[in-house]
Amino acid sequence: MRRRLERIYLEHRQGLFTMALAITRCPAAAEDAVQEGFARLWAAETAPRGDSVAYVFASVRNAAIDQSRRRRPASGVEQPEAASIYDGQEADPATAAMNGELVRRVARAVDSLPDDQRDVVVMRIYGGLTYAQIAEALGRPLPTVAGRYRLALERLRSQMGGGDER
Amino acid sequence: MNDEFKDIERMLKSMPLRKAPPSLDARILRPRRFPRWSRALVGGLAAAAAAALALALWLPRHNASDPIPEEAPPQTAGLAPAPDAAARPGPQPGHTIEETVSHVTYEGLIVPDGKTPMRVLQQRTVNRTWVADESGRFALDSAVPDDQIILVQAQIQ
Repeated sequence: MRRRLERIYLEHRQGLFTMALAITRCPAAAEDAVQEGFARLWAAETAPRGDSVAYVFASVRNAAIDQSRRRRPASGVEQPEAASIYDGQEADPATAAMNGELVRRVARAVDSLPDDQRDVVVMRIYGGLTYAQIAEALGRPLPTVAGRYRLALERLRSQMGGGDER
Repeated sequence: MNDEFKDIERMLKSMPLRKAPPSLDARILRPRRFPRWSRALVGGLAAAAAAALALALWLPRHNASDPIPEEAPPQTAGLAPAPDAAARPGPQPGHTIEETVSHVTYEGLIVPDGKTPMRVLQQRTVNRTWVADESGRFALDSAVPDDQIILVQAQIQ
C-alpha cells in the first residue's frame, strides 16, 4: 500500500499542496498538512475502500482543516499575511507587470468563494479529480458536488467578467 | 455544463500556481517517524557526525602527490553522476554525505502572559543522508525532519 500511496503522491503532489494551501493559507502549514495526511494513511491498518486518489485527497484535506484550526490566533493577536495558491512571481518583468493584476484578481475571486465551492474548484481544476472522486473525497453526493462546481464557476465568471466589461 | 464554462476553466488553469516545495518530497517519500525529542537529538548528532565524516573524507584525499578530486554536488532527485574512475578517484561504496537544510518562518505574535508580546518563529530542518552505492553513485538514504518553535520578545514601540 505504501508504494501505491507514494505513486499517488508523485502524480498529485501539486494538486494536494494547492488544496492544502487553499485551506491553510500558509505554505508551511500546507506542507505540514500534506505530510500529516499521508502519515494518517500510513498509520491506517487497512487499505482504503473505494478510490485511492479520493482517499488521499480526503486525508490531506482533513489534515489541512485541522492545521487551519490549530493555527487560528487568539483575538487581538497579529495575524501573518495569508498566502495565495497562486505565485505572483514571473521571470519576465514585463509579463509580471501585465499578468500580476490578473493573478491578483483571480486570487481574490477564488479566495472569496465559500469553502465548499473553493475545495471543489481546486480539486477539479488543480487536482484533476473527477466529480465522482471529489464526491467521495468530500463525502457528498455527486449532484451536490457538480452543483457546487457550477455555482463556483458562475460566481468566478461574474467577478472576473465584471472587471473586464468596464 | 463543461462547455458552458470552458473559458473560465481555461483561465483558472492558466494561472501560475505556487509550487509545492522540494522539501515536501523528502518528507513524504522517505519519512522517518520519530518522537520530537529524539528528532532533535538525532539532528544534533547527525550534524556532528556530518562534520566529522566530512573531515575524515577530506583529509586522506588531499595527498600532496594526488590531484584534488572534483566532487559532484548531491542532487535532490535521482543519482549523482558517477565520476570517471580513470581520471579521478570517486566516492567509495558506503561513503555518506549528510546535509542539513533549515529555514525559519515568521508565524505571528502571541502575548502568552498578557503583557509581553513574543514573535513566534518556526524553524524547519531536514537532515538528509546520501550514501554511495557499489557504482559510486550517491542516492538519498534518509530524510529526518525536525520542527522547532522559537519565541523572541518583540520590541514595544
